[in-house]
Amino acid sequence: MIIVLTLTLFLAAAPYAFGQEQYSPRELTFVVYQDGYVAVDYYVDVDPTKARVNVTIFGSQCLDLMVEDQDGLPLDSSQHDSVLTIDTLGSASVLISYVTMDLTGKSGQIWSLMVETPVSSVIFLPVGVTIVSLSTVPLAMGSIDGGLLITMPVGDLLIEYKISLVGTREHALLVIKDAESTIQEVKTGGIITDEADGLLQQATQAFEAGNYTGAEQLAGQAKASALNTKNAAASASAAMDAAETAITAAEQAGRTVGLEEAESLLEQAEASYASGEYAEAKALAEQAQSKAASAETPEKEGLPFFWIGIILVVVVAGVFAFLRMRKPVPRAALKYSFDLDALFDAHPYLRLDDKEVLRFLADAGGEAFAAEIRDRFDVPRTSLWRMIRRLEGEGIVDVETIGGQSLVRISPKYRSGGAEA
Amino acid sequence: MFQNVSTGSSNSTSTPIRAVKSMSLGKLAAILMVALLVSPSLAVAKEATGPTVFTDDPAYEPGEEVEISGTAEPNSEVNITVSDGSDEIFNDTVHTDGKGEFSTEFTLPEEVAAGVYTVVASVFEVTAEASFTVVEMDLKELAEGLLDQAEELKEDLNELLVLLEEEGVEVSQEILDDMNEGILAFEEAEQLIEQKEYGEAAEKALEALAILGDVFDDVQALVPEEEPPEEEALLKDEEPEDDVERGMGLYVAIDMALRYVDKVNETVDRLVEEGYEFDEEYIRERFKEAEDALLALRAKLEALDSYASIAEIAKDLARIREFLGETNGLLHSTAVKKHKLQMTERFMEQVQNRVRVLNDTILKLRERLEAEKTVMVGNALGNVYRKIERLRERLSTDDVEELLDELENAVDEIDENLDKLNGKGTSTNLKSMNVVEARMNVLRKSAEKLRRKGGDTSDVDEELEAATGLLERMMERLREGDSTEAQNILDEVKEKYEELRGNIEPPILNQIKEQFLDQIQKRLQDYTGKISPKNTP
Repeated sequence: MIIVLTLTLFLAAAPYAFGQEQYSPRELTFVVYQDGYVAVDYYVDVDPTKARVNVTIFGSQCLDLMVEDQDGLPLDSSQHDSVLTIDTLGSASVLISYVTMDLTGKSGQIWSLMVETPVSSVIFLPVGVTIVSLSTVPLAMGSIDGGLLITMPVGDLLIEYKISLVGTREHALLVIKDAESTIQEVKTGGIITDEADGLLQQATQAFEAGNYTGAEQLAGQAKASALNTKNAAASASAAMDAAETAITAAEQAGRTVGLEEAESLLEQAEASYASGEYAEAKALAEQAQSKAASAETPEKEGLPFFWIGIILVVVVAGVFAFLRMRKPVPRAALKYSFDLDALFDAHPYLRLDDKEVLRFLADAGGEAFAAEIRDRFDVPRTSLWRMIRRLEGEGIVDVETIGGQSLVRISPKYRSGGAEA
Repeated sequence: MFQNVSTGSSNSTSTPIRAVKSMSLGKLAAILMVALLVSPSLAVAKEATGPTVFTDDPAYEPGEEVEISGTAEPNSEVNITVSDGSDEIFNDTVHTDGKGEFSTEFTLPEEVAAGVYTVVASVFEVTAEASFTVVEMDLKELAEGLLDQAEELKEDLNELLVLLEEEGVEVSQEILDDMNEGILAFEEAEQLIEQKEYGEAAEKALEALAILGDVFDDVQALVPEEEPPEEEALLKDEEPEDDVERGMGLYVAIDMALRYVDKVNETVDRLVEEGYEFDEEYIRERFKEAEDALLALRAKLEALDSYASIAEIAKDLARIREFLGETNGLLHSTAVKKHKLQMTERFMEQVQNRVRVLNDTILKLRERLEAEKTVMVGNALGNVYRKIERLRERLSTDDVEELLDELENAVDEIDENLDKLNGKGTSTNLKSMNVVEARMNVLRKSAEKLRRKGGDTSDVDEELEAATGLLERMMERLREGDSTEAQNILDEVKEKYEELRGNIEPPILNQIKEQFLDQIQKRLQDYTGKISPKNTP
C-alpha cells in the first residue's frame, strides 16, 4: 500500500520537476472582459537547447492563440488540454497569448477570476468593476481610465468582482435597443403603447445629449411600461372573453333579465380597449361578467318583483331603442376595389382568418363595421379586436369611430382602381 | 493527503526539488516512505510544543524593517529563514529567553522582489510558519485603494438596503449583523490608515471587502424579481440570452477580434523585416478587409436609427472570424512555414555546434571522468551529430513536421548521455553550461539584429565577451575537479546573462510588450473615451 502511494507521489511529482527544467515563467497578464472572457499573455523563458517545450497554460479552451519567440516571430504549437507543446527550435523565451473563458465564473451578480499562477500576475479589470473580494493583499493596484489594474502574487489567485455597466455608452445603447424591440413586439399584438413610446423618445433624446445613465433609466422605464401595458391588455382581453362567455352562458340558460346591461358594459369595455384604456376595459368587462352572472330567468320572477319587472322592460326597451338608433349609419356610397394579392404579397405572414376578413372587407367596398364582421364570421369580440388591432398595427387597415361604432377600413394605399359608383 | 505529506517533507529538507533530482529512485522512495510514516507524528509534535512565529506587519514596502518574533521552548535555539520559495532573503539563529520568547529583525533590500514571503522558524525538525507580502507600490496608496473598493461596495449595499426597505422586503437580523461587522472592519481599516499602519490597514480593508461581498450576495438574493430596482440589476434579472447581455458580449467579441488583427499584422511586419518572401500585399489586404468589416459591424451595433438584430451581427462576426481564420492559414502556409524551415535549419546547425563543443569539453575533462564512460558518451554524441546531419539532408526534400519528432529525440539524447557521465556534478554543470551558452547565443543574435538596425551594442558585446571568458574559467575549474567553484562561476554568468538581457531587451522584446500595453490602453480608451467622464442624469 505504502509503495503504491509512494509511486503515485513520485509520478505526480515527476512532470512538475521536468516542466520546471524546460521553462520558467517570467511575466503573466490577464485582461478581463465584461463578459467573462480573459485575454492571457504569458511570457516564459524556455530551454534554448530544446526543439520542443511543453508549457502549462491557464484554461484549456483557447481562442486566438499566438506563440512568438523573443524576436516576436511566430512559433508553431499544438495544444492538449492545458499543455501547450511549442516548437521552440532554439528560442530562449516565448510569448504566449490567447483568450479563454475558463478562468472566470459567475454566481448571481458576482464574477470570479480563479487561477493558479506560477509567477506574479498583472490583472486588468474592465470599466465599472468593483472588487468584492481578493484572496490576498495585492502587490500593487491602480487604475487606467476607469479600469482596475491589480498585481497579484504567485499562487492561488481569486478575485471576486461585480460589474456595473450602467453609465457606459454601449450599455445605454443596448438598453434602448432592447426597449425598442420590446415595444415593437408589443405593438404587433395590436396594443397601444403611447406611454412607452413617449418614454423611449425621451431616452433617445437623453442618449443623444450624452446622458447615458438617464437614457438607460428612461429606456428601462419604457420597456417596463410596454410590458405592463401588454399585461394590462392581456388581462383586459381575458376579462372581456370571460364576460362574453358569461353572457353567452346566460343567454343559453335563458337568464335574460339584466343581460342587456351586461352587453352594454361589454361594448363599453371594447371601446375602452380599442382606445388603449386597458385598465378601464378590464374593470368594465368584469362588471359585465358579474352582471351576466347575476342575470335571471324571467319565469322566476315572483309577484314582489312585478314592478321591478316593469322597470326592466322599460329599460330593455330603452336600450333596444338606443341600439337601434346606433345601427350602422348609411355609409358613403363610394366603393373601391382592392388589389388583395398585392396586399397578401406585401404581408406574407397574414393568417388565414386575417385574409378572410380582408376579403370580406374588400367585397364590402373596403369598409365594414366591427359588428358586421363579427356577425359575418361569428368570432368572439375580443378575438376580432385583437385581429383588427394587429392589422392596424401593420398598416393594413384603419379604424375610425363613427357614432360609437368602429368602422374598419382597408388602408387606401391598397386600392387598385378609382372609385365606383 | 499527498500534499500534506510532501509539505511535511519539505519542512524538514531544505531544497526538495534539487534533492530529488540528484537522488536515485530507490533513495527517493525510501525518503518519501519515511516522510509518510513520520509526518503524522510531526503534526502532533507541532501542536504540542512547537514554536510559534509572527511578523509585526502583514505587508511591507521594499526597504522597510521586518520584525520577527515568536515563542519556543525556553532557552532553546531557533533557526529562522525568510524566503519566497526560490530565494532566501534572510537567515538567522536566535535563542529564546527564560520565558521561551525570541525576536529578530532585518531590513528588506530595496531591490527585493515583490511577492509573498514565508518566515520559517524551526527548532530541530519542528517548524512554524508565518507569511508577509512585499508590495511593489506605496503601501499607503495600496491600502487606500483597497479601502476605496470596500467603500464603493458599502455604498452599493446601502442603496440596495434602502431600496429593499421601500419595497417592504425584510432583511434578516443575521444579514444586518454581518453588514455591521463589515462596516466595523471598514472603520477599523480607516483608523489604521490614520495611524499609518498601512500594512494592517490593507489587510483589514480586504477583510471588510470579503464580509461586505458576502452580505452583498445575500442581499442581492432578496431583491424582488419583477422590477429591477438598481440599474445594474437590469442584467441580472433578464434571461441570460437577453439582448443586452448578448450585445455586450458582441462588443467584447468584436474588440477581441480587432486586437487579434492588430497582433497578426505586427507578426506580418516582423516576417517582412526578416526578409521572408510571401504575398504580403494580398494578406495585408485581407486583414484590412477584416478590420474594416469589424469596425463596420461595431458601428452597426451602435447605430440607433437602423435596428440591426443582435443575431444578425453575431452571424456577421462569425463570417468575419472565418475569413480571418482563412487569412491566418494563408499566412501560415506561406511565410510562417518558410520561417519555421529556416529556424529548424539554424537550430540543427546550433545543435551540431553544441555537440562538437561538448565533445571537446568531455575530452578536456577526461582525467576527471571514467574512461569507459567518456568513450561511450563520446561515441553517442558522435551518433547524435550524424543523426542530425542526416536530418539536415532531408530538410530539402521532406516536410519539416515529419523531421521534428526525430530532431526532438536526438536533442534529448544529448542530455541523456550527459547524465551518464559521473564525476562530482560534472553532468549537471555541463548541462547548465550548455543551456547558458545557448542563451548567450540567442542574445548574441538579438544584439546582431539590433546592430543591423543601427543600435549601439558595444557594451553588450563587451559583456558577452566577458561572460564567455567566465565560461572558460568555469571549464578550468571543472578540469581541476572543483565543481563547487565551477557552479559559482556559472551562477555569476547567469547573473550577467540576466543583466545583459535587460540591456538587450528594451529595443526588442520590450518593444513587443510596449506595443501590447499600448494596445490595451488604446482599447481601454476606445472603450472608455466615450464614457468618461461618467455621465450622470
